[in-house]
Amino acid sequence: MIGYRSILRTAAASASLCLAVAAAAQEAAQEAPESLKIYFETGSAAVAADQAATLDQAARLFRDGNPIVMIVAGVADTVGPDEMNLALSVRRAEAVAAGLADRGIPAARLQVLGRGNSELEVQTGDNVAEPENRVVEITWR
Amino acid sequence: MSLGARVAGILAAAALAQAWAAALALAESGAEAFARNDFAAAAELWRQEAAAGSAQAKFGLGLISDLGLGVPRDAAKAMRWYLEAAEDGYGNAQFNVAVMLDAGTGVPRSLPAAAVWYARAAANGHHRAQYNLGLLYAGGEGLPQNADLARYWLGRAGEALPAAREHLGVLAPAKEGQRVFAAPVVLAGALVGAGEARKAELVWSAPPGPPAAQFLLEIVRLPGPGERTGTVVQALATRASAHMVPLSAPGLYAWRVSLVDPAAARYAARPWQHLSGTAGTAAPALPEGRVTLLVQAEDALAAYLARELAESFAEAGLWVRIEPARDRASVTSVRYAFRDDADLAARVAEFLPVLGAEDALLSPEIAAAPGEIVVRLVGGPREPAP
Repeated sequence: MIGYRSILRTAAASASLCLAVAAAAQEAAQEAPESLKIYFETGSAAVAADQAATLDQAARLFRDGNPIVMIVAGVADTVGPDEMNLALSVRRAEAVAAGLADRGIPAARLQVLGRGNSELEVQTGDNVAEPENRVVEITWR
Repeated sequence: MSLGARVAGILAAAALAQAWAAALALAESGAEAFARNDFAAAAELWRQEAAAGSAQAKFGLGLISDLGLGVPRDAAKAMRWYLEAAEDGYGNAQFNVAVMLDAGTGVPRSLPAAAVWYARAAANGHHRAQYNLGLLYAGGEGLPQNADLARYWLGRAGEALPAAREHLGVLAPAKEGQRVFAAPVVLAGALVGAGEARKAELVWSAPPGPPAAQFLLEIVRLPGPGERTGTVVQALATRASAHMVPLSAPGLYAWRVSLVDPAAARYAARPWQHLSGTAGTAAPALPEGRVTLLVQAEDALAAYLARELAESFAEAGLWVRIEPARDRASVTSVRYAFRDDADLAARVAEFLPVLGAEDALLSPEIAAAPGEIVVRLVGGPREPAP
């Protein structure tokens, strides 16, 4: 496995709130639950129909005036080459971000992050198909 | 020029600039200060604007506490400001109040309360509120499950949100066994704003009704001093469960919502209720029913009788309109469009000189309103009563 590698894409956030929200991030998130997870099929970056309810749940936490930034982080399991899995994790995170944008969440309030195999939910060896690792985690601050 | 004079000149110029800046700051709005990230100035300006009644300013103060901009983050305080702006009819604030109630942020979680605020924001055209309201109806969360209303609100949200259009594709229709014919449940009836911006925000809920049935939203202006009869200002057939209606004309208003099935000639109405602020002992009485008297222009006897009847019906709490008849009817008739009005129609017919209770006719084709009895008067007593 390659060490920590991530692609962080902070969308063109409106400057006024970006700093403010970062400052507010030190405060504990007030919403429950603490994170939401969207699961994927092996090799796929498409959000399955049965996962759409989780996107709705996430969108229902998002107020007008951008009180929170949503961090959308994709992960892939260790099946296949690392390079491919990093790209796959990014595509998964982008699919989830697109789903949130389709629900009216401003793109500027979404941070899209691909973690490849670098921060697995469940530690496994190489070439292990692990459903818990085919996931996009939505957190917020 | 001496150094002292130059310094004095610079100081004078600086003082002028300061005064000019102060004057500029006075003219600045809270939103402008916020836009240049001066949150302390924004908060101060918004406090002044909020005291003068600005809903946007109250919303801004909510944001400042919500985000913790130069003040400690305080969800409960944010909620109080959002709520004040929401009660003024500001859609964005109504949506935030709903989301906070939905998530239990700053207040105890309450889906029924969230549903009401989503609905008020939805009525004001807020697409994400329409989407979330559709989800609540689809899942029966905080509201009766109703696939028809879910479809309606997701359809409205779909004008802006692609996810809403996807939902519509997979939304299961209401089961036949779920469909009931019942009066809608009123969730909110508020009169907000003032003057030209005054509006009513009206919210109800219902389980799915028969496929052909629709809601009928009626708003009436109550009789003013010296008047015996009010006027219908809005009669809106709708598939929505919330509406915003501009009501800038002065006066006291009442409203009601019904489920109406014209083909089956039936309706189920909620009682009339005063729009907020108009209740109380001095408020005019709500209509018991409505009578429309149709009289042909040349028919002097009928016209005389109509005026007499109008007095008597008004005594009985009915609202009466006298309208010109366009037909060539040769006999007096009493008609109504909904079987639920049979008793009222019978009482009206009984009151007429030549008819009996059995002469009232159910006539759905006349397109009368629920609770409206249409009397076509032809001729009248030969000798006008003294």
